[in-house]
Amino acid sequence: MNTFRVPRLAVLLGLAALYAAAYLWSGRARQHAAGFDPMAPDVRAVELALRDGRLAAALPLAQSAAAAHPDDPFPMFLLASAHHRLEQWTAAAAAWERYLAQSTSVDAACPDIAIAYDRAGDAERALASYRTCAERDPENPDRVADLAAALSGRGAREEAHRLYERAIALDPGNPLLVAGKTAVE
Amino acid sequence: MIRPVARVLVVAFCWMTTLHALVASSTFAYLQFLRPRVFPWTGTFADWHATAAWAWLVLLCVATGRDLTRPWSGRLMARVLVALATAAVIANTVRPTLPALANDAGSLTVAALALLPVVCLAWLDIHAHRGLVGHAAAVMTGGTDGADGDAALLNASVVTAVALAVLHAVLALARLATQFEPDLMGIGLIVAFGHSVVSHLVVLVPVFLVAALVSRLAGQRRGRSFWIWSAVLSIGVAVLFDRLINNALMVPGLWRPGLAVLAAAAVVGTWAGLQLNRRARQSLPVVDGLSLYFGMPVRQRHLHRLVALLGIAVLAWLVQRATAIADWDDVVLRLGTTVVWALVCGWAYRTVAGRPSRRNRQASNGRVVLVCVAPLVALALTSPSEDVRRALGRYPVYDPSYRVARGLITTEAGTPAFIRYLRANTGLTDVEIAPRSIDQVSPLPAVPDARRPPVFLFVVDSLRHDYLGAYNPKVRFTPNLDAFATDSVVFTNAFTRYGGTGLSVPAIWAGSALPHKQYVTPFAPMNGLEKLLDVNAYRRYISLDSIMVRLLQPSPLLDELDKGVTVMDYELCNTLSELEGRLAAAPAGTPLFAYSLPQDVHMSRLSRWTTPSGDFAGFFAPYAGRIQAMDACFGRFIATLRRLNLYDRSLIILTSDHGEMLGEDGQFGHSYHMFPAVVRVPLIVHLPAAAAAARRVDPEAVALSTDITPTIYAALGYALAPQGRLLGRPLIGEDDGALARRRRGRHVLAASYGAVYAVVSRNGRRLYVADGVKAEDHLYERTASASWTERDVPPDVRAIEQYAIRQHIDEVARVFAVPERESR
Repeated sequence: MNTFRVPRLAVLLGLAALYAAAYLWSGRARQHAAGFDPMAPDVRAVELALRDGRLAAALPLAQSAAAAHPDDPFPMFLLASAHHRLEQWTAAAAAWERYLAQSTSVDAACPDIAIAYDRAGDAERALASYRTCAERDPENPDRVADLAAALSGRGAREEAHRLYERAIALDPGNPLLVAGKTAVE
Repeated sequence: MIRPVARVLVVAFCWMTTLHALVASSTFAYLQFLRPRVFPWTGTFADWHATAAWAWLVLLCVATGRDLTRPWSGRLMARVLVALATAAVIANTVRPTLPALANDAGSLTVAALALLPVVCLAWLDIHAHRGLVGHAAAVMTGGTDGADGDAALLNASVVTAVALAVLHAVLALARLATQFEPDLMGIGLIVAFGHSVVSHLVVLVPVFLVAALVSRLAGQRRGRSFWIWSAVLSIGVAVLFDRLINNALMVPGLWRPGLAVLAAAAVVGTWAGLQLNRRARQSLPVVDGLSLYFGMPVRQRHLHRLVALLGIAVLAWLVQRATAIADWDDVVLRLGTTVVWALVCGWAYRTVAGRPSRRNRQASNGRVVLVCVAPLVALALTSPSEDVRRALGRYPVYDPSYRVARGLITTEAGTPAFIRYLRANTGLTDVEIAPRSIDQVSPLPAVPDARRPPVFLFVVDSLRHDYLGAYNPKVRFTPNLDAFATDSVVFTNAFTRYGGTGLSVPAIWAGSALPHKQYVTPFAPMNGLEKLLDVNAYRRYISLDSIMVRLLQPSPLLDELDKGVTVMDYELCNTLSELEGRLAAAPAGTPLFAYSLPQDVHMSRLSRWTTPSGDFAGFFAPYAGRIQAMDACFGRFIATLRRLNLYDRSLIILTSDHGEMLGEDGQFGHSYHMFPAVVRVPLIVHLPAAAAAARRVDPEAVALSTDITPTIYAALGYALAPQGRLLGRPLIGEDDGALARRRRGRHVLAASYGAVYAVVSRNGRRLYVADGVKAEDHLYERTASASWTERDVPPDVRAIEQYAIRQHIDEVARVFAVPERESR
């Protein structure tokens, strides 16, 4: 009976190719896991424009970067920053919302999103944003204190007081929190 | 016998010269290690190099003696080598090279030139024994080529992988016996060991594939086999040299491949030369290149094999022990571990391939495929749980071989743009940067005499905050510093701007973040603290270490402390004794300033540390013992200030330039790490009574080392207007807005000696580290118990933190007019 035998050299070359492919794949997989490259030229161009204060130029660049990378929150962060610095509050708030929807952390958007709503004249959504920030980052005394300050400003002194106490429990030595609590007492 | 010994000594001298010159070429290593003679033997070697070179020349003549009488080509090469070496030795005597080396291309040239004799000697050996190697067409009579050899190579690879994993697991177990590692108990340890075996296999199987393919390429030609194997090994050594040595020393541009190729030729050539000499002496044949480098497969008794492996295990243990405390970011450990790998490879090849078993004679395609693919599949299918991931994260701390294997597996295919950007903007020795005037207050008037307190600034090199009772209630060995702290403001959340002395000290004096360059000169326009001292006519007592001599201008008001003392011998007790005498003799009414950078607890002084008496349980006793000694002297100094009626009106600042790793994750020192233990520093500020009463302080807010100089300004009564994000801010008298920015802001820190940056946020509770040297990043969070826990880095968090780093670097570039460099 005739049997077909694969030459050993072909086997070795095939295995070498397999290992090379696995090596390349693991590199790409790591890069993918690390997220997209924020130094992609179109995104970096936005950063540089913002850095140099060329806000008018930064905005369209940020819009096209956000459109080009719809699955990544960072270009949306830059777009929100551009609107924010241009004091286009309604657009800024909308961009911050989209950023928050994509991001696992609220650090970069809070409290700017609430400030943007406030400046846009939407006090209700501003307060809701303060609440969202505090709920999504409950261990961060700054987020809790921001909500407390917002409530205090709207006359809800009792809830503000309770929140200040929670913030002080998270950051006992913070004189600003103690001052805030004293102010609502 | 004399000749081989002479040969080894000649090569060793050349390598020592090369390594010394390489270290000198690196700015940080030159300024931080060679110039201050941190390791005195390096200075001794440089001092005696010109003299020792004559002995080297004699040894070279002995080593090449036989070559001088060989046929014309070898004789010519030997004579040229000896003649050039003689000329070099004479030139070196007239003008000694090593003591004059500096951090420039000249050092790299010396490093390269010193390797040439090694390469020439290797060429002479190979040339002399070319009959043994055989010309390219000489046919082999045995060896491991072809399909029959595959089984032996495959078995050797598998045995190497398993032996490395087992050997290092045993050593890891010995270390774990004295550690508390909850993640590495029971199942965690077993899983980690299994992962180690698989990881080693994933690395060693490609080695088998390369060996099998190279053997086929060489065919039955002995000479061809020798040259092909030499080339393959040279490539391996060159890559290793580039990744370990060039990366660690930040060797620039085309010097990297040039030095890597020379080093590879020197290592592989010397190895081949010694083997050829040995085989010629013993009249042994050379079968093929692989056998020349790794030894002939022979049938050995089990006992012999075991003894050989035990010898390698002892070497592995010695490598780990020797590098436990004195290493530079694991470079020596990884180098030593790689040598252990090579030895185990040789051991496995000689012993396993030498066994005439059926398995060694045949290897079916199916078996080859199964053995090669199985570890890859195992690795791909592994989806570890959180517990297992923690175990896999901790195990490499104790098993350097697993660390090396894992590093090879997980290396990225390309370097991301951000890493290239970090490297491009770090260590800017080749960039001309003009000094920019840094003015905390402009114009800067003198303050009235009554507002010029005595100022004492002690920056204790490498002092950790948690080794002081003021920061850690478990500390019982700093009673005097604790008493001083109760009279002072203890900033509990202090960080250094730079994780190494080289940039940390200039930044403290400038009161600002600076370009990543050692150093922008002249430094005077940037020296905010010196300007303050000048305008207020402070008499200053300063230890002029190797950094301060570059930072300060000559001044009639400057009195040097520790004059004639080697920098690494600066000790707080001696400095304070001298200072006490100076203060007692100072004219009344003169404003006084003192500064020193005591080296008592610097790692380089480890050899002088003795285990002290006393209870240091839970602490690194030699280090804690030195702090205890400093504490006593500091207490005496405070008593002197009280006696001189200076204490109450003095501004006294005790801090450090950076922290230190004292065994955390098996690491010692600070190198270019930016781990929490390195970036956290103590900062205790005793304010003059007048300033203390009137000033608002937030001691739990983040404080940076660059805030020290602005704080001295504020203590003298200056009002500092905000001036951008790079300048420090006073730690006293800040308004609510400034306090909020301090607590809520992101603060960017950097290593002094490598492209490693960190971002402190959430008022010091979060630390993100971007390591551009190893192309990795880490996220740490401080828990309520003040310990730090490493977290996974979500991609969106990474993007924001890296953006903060880019903003900082871009801002430095803008403010100091540093040419923009997106990558290098």
